[in-house]
Amino acid sequence: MMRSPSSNSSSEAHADARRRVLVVDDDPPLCELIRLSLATKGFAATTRSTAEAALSALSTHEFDALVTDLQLPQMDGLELCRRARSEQPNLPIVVLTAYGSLDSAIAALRAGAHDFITKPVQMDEVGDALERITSRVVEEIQGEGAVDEILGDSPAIHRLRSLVARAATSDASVLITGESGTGKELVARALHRAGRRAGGPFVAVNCAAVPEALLEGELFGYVRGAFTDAKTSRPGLFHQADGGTLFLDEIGEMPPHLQPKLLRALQERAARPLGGTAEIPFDVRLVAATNDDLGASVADRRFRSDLFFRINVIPIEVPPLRARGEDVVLLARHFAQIYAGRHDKRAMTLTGDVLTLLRAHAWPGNVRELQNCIERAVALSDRAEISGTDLPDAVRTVQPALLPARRVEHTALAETDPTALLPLAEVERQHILFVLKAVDGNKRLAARILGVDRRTLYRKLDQYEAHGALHGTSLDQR
Amino acid sequence: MSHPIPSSSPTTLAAQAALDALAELRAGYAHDLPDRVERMALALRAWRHAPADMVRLEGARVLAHKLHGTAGSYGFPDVGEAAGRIEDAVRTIERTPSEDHAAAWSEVWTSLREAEALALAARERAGSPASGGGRVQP
Repeated sequence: MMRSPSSNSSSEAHADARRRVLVVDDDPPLCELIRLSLATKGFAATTRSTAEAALSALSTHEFDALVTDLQLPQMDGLELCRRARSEQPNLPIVVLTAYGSLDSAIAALRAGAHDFITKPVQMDEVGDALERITSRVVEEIQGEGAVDEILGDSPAIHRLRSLVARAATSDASVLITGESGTGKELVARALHRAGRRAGGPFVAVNCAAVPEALLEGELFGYVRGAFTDAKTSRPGLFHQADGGTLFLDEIGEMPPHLQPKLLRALQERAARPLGGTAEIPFDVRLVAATNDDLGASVADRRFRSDLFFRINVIPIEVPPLRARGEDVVLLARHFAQIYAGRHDKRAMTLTGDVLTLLRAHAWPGNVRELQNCIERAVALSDRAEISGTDLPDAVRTVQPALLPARRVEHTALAETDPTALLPLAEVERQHILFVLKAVDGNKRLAARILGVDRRTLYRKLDQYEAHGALHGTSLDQR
Repeated sequence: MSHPIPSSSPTTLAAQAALDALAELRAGYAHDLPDRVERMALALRAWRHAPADMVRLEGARVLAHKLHGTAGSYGFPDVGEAAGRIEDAVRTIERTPSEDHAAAWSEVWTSLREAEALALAARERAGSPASGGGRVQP
């Protein structure tokens, strides 16, 4: 809220928990009427008859809301709104305007008022408006908090937070681009929590991780009997996200035959489940993300241009960690604190040599790589600090950013006995996991290096996971 | 004036006290309403005698404007609307050449008589305020 619990020492300050409202009108009977009417609704109102006196009260007392007439002697209510907003941007403001004075009401809203009430005032209106607005402002403040979860102090992150905060106020589709590991889903969640749909669901799906044959049913749902295994009807993700946000990660992997259906659903704001006969409407904000160059995909005709334009209304690019300067240190300290707590360790500091290594590393896996690196260091360290020896070899070995192609040249089954005679499938598994580790889990890069499409890579990883062979256990041991 | 108090919680007590005070305030306003209309009438007549006096003009306009905004909020919309017509007529007189003022002045006096009658009726309906504690200073 706009006040701190203990900062008001004025005799007009109320020790109770009622919300404080400053009422400004040059007609004392009206002030008194509003004051008492608000008291019946649990507000504690203080009255002033001029804008100057109101500004003075705002500077010395803390209020949860301001209610002001527009016509005031000397400084008018519009100027009061402007100055109050300038001093306290989150202060809810309601203005009282003469009946039918729409121009005045619009001017008041432009000057920073949240709402207006026309005279004669219906007393319930003031309390109702304040209830409505204070709830909205609290949501906005919480939304600002959501944007603040995008950590960093670099100019690139300041720009990103500002853009996310502005995009959150809209309902337009957003396309988040950026390298793998930069935090695109974090941005998508911040967009959701900072917007008016924060109370609704946030539904995320990785388009590349869902087998192509199942993706349509996942997105749009299906009715019982639509296909052999459809024993019951199931709503699609669009309908599960109704009233909230649908996050389509790796949208560039959307199969070509589904792209027109997705486009139609977005245009019509309705979708027909598989096997269904009617379209079912949905109310969803679409946020998509990709680490592909979708523009190039459009040029190559792998991605429909009309769909691209439909999802790319507000483009947001998340910067790579290497472009964020000292954020690497800020984030490293943040992760060290988090993982120290998670691993029941004392607060951990980072030694000077660690900071040097962190700054020198190119972080091809971006924030995700840094996060994994710090978690590993925290888990391995038996001291209250992280030193250079706790870092992975890739970080300790200071070298310029490695291009994926160069990494391929160094690919080797280092953890395997070179003389062992292995089945081809096991060689493939080890090689896939080795490449994945080398690129810090970046599946797009790994697939490119391995020369397979991403869907094939996901399928193989699913197989390994299903056979318990994802983390070092060979396929022979299953 | 007293009402049963359904709960002893501070919020309910405060709200109930506010309701009591509100009822007194409304009664006090109704009692004072003819005086408020009369103050506006005096200001209008003073300005009529010295139409070029901008101070008197402003005084009459402000009183009409306040009555316009406040009387309706207190539950006397007819008085508020009559004051609103007076405020509009004053603005017309203020902004137009003097040869066009006759109709506006006619509107002022007609609406004033209406407001005076409505205010007196409001006072009669409200009766005497309980203690004068609900009176508000002009």
